[in-house]
Amino acid sequence: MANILVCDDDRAIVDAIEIYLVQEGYQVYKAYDGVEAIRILDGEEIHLLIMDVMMPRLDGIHAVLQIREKYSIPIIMLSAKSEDADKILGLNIGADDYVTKPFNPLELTARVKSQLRRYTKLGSIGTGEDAEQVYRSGGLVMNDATKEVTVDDEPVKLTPIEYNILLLLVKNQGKVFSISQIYENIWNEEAIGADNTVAVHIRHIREKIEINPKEPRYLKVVWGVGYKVDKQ
Amino acid sequence: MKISKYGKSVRFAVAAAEVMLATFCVVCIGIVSCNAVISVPNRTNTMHVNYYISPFSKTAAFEDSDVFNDMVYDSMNDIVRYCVIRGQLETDGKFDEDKEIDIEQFARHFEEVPVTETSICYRLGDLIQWGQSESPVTLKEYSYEEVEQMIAQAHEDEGFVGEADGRIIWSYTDLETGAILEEEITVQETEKSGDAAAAYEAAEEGRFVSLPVERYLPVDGKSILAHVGSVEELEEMVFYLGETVHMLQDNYKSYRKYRDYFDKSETNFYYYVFKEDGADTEVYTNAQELMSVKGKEAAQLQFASMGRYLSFQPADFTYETNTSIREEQVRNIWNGYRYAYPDDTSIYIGIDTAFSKADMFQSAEESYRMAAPGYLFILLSIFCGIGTLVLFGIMTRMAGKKQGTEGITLLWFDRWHTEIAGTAAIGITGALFCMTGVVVSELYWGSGDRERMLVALILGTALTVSSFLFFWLSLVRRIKSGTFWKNFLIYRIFLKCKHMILAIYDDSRIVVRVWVPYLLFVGANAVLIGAGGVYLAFFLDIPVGIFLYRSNKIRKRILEGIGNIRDGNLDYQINTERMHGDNRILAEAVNGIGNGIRQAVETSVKDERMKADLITNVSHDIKTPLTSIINYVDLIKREPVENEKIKRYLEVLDSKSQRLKQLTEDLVEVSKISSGNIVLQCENLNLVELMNQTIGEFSERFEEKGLQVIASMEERPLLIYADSRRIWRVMENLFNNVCKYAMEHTRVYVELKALQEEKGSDRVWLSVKNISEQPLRIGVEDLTERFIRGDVARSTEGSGLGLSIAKNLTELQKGRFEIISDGDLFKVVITFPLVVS
Repeated sequence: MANILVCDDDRAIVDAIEIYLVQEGYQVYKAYDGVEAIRILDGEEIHLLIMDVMMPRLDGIHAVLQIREKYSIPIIMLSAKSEDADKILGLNIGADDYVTKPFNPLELTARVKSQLRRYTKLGSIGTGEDAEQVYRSGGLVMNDATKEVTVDDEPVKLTPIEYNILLLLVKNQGKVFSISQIYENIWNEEAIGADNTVAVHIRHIREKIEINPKEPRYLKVVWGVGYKVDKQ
Repeated sequence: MKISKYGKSVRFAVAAAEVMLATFCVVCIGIVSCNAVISVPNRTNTMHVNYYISPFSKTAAFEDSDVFNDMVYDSMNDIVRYCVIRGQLETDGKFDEDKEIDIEQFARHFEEVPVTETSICYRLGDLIQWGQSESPVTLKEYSYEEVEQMIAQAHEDEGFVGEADGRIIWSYTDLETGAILEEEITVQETEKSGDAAAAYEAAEEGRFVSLPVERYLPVDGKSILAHVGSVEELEEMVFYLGETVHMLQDNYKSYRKYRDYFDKSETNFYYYVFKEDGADTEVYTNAQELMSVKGKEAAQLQFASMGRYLSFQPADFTYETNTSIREEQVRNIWNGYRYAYPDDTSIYIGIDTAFSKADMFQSAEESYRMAAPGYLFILLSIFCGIGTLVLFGIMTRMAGKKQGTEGITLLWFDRWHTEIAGTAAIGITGALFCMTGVVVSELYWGSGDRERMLVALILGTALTVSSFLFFWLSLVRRIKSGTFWKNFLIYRIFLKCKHMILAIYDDSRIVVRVWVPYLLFVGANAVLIGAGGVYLAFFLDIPVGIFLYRSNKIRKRILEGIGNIRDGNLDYQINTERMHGDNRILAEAVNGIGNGIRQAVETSVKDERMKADLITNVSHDIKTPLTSIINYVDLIKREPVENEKIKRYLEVLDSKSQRLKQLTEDLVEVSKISSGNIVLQCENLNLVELMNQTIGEFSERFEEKGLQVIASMEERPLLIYADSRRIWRVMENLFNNVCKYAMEHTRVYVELKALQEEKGSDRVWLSVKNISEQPLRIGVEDLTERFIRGDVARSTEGSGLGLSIAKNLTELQKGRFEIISDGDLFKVVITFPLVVS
């Protein structure tokens, strides 16, 4: 299995993460500051890095900057800093994901899995299925021919209406659809009055395809405007 | 002496005692004074003389006193006169009414050289009676010729000898040598008349001549007319007759009085007057019985043995006495009567100092003895005086110190102006004093009524002392309270003037800067109009107008600056270029105020930001251990736990750690919002769409609690300009609140519409109503405060920051957030300005 380096100055947190990841079958390396992490990276073959931001000797941001000069492995930032600015900074310097403390262990493992799949299979290996009826956005793949939907290779079961809504959004990536537009497109009838039917469906879709529905990666809510799937 | 503050009764008692003591003191002095005055009868018992016997100069013996000396002196005077009269009226020591009195000699007896020739003699008794019945002698007027004829007639009756060679020859045998002398005189007179007689007589004609009605005739029984040779001589004699009658009548009265006193009644006063005129000696005395041996020398010895004596021989210049009467005094008396005495005269006076006889000396001595020196009263008055002074001092110290009050208590009178009060004090006290003095002296000298005098003295003194005390204490209070000078009317007027002058002086800059130029301007205008007419003045006024315009413009600039600062534009600075004087100071002050406020605001914003940073940092530090807690709780849950209790405990740990997580996140957010430390990314968004999305998001949670959402929303899009994620946060908190606190299986009403407001700007109006599960125990105002929740026990989940965050976020985006609760109905109304697309 994959080797994962966990780097945090709080040993309790490192140990907890280790337990979760070992349960999932990963090999875990532990570091307690940025310098140590770089040393382990140099010495071992590491497939994924979980890195805290605030650490002694070398903090997460500077460590990531150095690591990115040599390695392209997925990096998940794990920080108590939950501000938007912190997240944006972390992602901009080369992190692939940003999880705020206190985190849900299940969410973290899901994200680890997702990053590893993309790194090992989609990102690096890649597939040749470029059929016309396959639409993808990041780890979300919709095969309209087989009506199959996978997220990071994990199959997802959607109802026909949910499938159609997601397909509409994935086909028109980056475009925002309002509730009534979605309604008219899917039900093929004019939307009469305000309705939250679409919103409920969207929520259901998010719960199925997103690791954390409140912080969706694919199906995003544009509040007061509509819904969209970003190009990735 | 320590004077504490006393009550009204004590002060009144002291004042009353003071008045009483002072009055008593004065009365004592009055009594002493009264007792020191004795009334002594004078020499003839006709009147009384008052003597003041000073209690300090009173001698032990009466005969050493001034009273005694005066009496002796007066008696001596009387004796000298008495002896003169005795010589006139007596023959051999006895009153002789048959004594013949020559009227010319008598009338002229004061003259230094006594008249010796004899003229007309009357009987003494006749003259005295004449004087007693009519004085002066009754006169009748006749014409000159008539009198001439009457004289002639009288002489005819007498036996007129006739005229020979122009001589009138008298032939009467009146006195021994009279005829010869008369003859000579008539001869001389006739010679005198000579040639001029006719003219002289002519001048005399028509004159009236007064003649006495002859009640009594001279001793020879002939009319007075028969004793004179001419009218002129007659007139002379008539004058002498009148004088003699008058004086004799007077002297007779004195004679009787003196005789009664000195000779007839008992007396302690003895006299011995020895007249020696050649061989002829006369002795006047009332001391015959005392004298065993007659004679001058014996008398002298006899008198010298008396208690008090006085002997005087004017011719020998010997004077001897044991009284304090001086020789000059005696000689003064003597000089007045020396015409009546021969040079060789001796006067002896003696007083029996046993005062055994009841006479005026005895009574005077008694009065003198009775004149109490009044030591008791003197002592009393001294004691009372001291007491008065002591009480006066106490009252002076007590004045103004009222029991139970601080400082000096003033009476209504003490607030009068000092001059008026002073005038009143001097006037009233002085008037009372003078009145008392006048009344008392009137009673004392006038009626001599001692009792009434004392009553008047007591009343007057008491009133005067009371009045004086009242005013004095007022004066003391004034000085103590420091209002003595301040209360001067003149001082007040002076102060008013001073204030007025100071006020003018304080405003002097303004006065100088406004009124002086103004007066110059007006004056210049007047001069110019006078000199060059209206147009010249107009040219002068143009720069004034420009100046006024410019200063108004500058003021407008300053006002604009103030308005800007008031409206919150704290960076605004007034351009102070081309400003001068006060305007520049004013503008710079306004700029300074603006800078000050800006700095204060910046400081407060910085402080708030630092607070937010602190909360953020603390929450970071909390989050790290919290992560471990949550993770390890989760790990335990993954382990096979048999014990049900442990499972239940784990659930509690799980939910509380999750709540802690929520709390830290909310805390950071609320601090950021309230410090304004967040960046809004505003855009137009459709609130209808957003509400549909929100309801969709919450549909499952509502279903879980059996809440039914009844949404009533406008179909058309209602656009607002806001940050969509923040609005979502508001709605999320609002609906979370509904989920948490709404009663299960009730309906939740959501209403969204455009509302036209009075001011013309339309607003989007959203209301969310639900039925609260538990009664709200706090006011709706407090619900949006931080950490406030409807349940005071905080037993339910949530941080208590939800509504606070919602409200703050709403208001940050120019919305209004209002909570209305009516019983269990809980209603939130949010409005935003409607964006018209």
